[in-house]
Amino acid sequence: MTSDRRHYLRIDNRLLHGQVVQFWIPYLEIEHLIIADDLAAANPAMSTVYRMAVPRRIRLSVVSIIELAQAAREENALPTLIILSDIFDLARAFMSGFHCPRITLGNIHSAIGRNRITDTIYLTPEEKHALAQFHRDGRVVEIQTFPGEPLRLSLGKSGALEWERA
Amino acid sequence: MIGILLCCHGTMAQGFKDAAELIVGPQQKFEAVGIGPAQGRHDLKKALKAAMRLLGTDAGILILTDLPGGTPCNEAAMLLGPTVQMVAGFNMPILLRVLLGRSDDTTLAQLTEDISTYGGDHIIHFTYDAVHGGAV
Repeated sequence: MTSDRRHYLRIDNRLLHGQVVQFWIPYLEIEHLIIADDLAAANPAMSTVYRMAVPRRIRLSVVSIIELAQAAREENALPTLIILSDIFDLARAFMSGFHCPRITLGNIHSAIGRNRITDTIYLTPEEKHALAQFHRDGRVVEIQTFPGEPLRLSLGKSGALEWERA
Repeated sequence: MIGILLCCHGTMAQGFKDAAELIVGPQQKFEAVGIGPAQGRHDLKKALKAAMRLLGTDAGILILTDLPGGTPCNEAAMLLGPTVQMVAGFNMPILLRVLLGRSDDTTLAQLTEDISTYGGDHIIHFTYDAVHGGAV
């Protein structure tokens, strides 16, 4: 399971992108990258682009959300980075048997109906609700787009989300 | 003539376009699109499609992107076709070569022949010892 400290989970609207390829993959020293996304998994050309862009020594799996639990179990031994594009995809993965004690928010872009948390994270009320539930379920939720100190989620007395330096 | 389309993070594409035209003068069929911090993948796809319409796919388009696996690369890859190709990780020597290598009958295969070797061959490490120490 992903209780191993060398397993990382990242929510990033852009899935695999420059920051991930150039920084996070070498920094985390992972050997397995799992991209869990229904659209990407259904698009063989997109999977090929990801395979061409990720260094050959890294095992790559592009899976649908429902397949994530199985894919993460199979590669338990390797240091692994899992990327999903959306908080509700992660909620669906949890419902289908996926486990993960720690969640990092990387990039969630601005749009109408979203509130700014940081320059790189904008959340809807529904997403805030989902993150609060992840927290209450005992998971660590953090924002870390770039290297450096992450911001960690806690809940205030009224249940409001609070983000503090970890 | 084959169109050249730059697609990069931030303002890099427009910056490279400006810099290239400083060196080789104004160029025809040469477009630049970027992705800003607040833009998503779909905004970039729209901008790419608009630039491709301007260039026209009939004569061929070569898309140059900054980083293999970056969002500009990933989105452009979804728009490739028999007459639309991409090179990811381009540099200024590559850009000038393809701009100047175009004529009315150049093919995409000719324009991109050995392009990664060419790009690498034109990255040169100038050490102090080599330049001032007589090591060369």
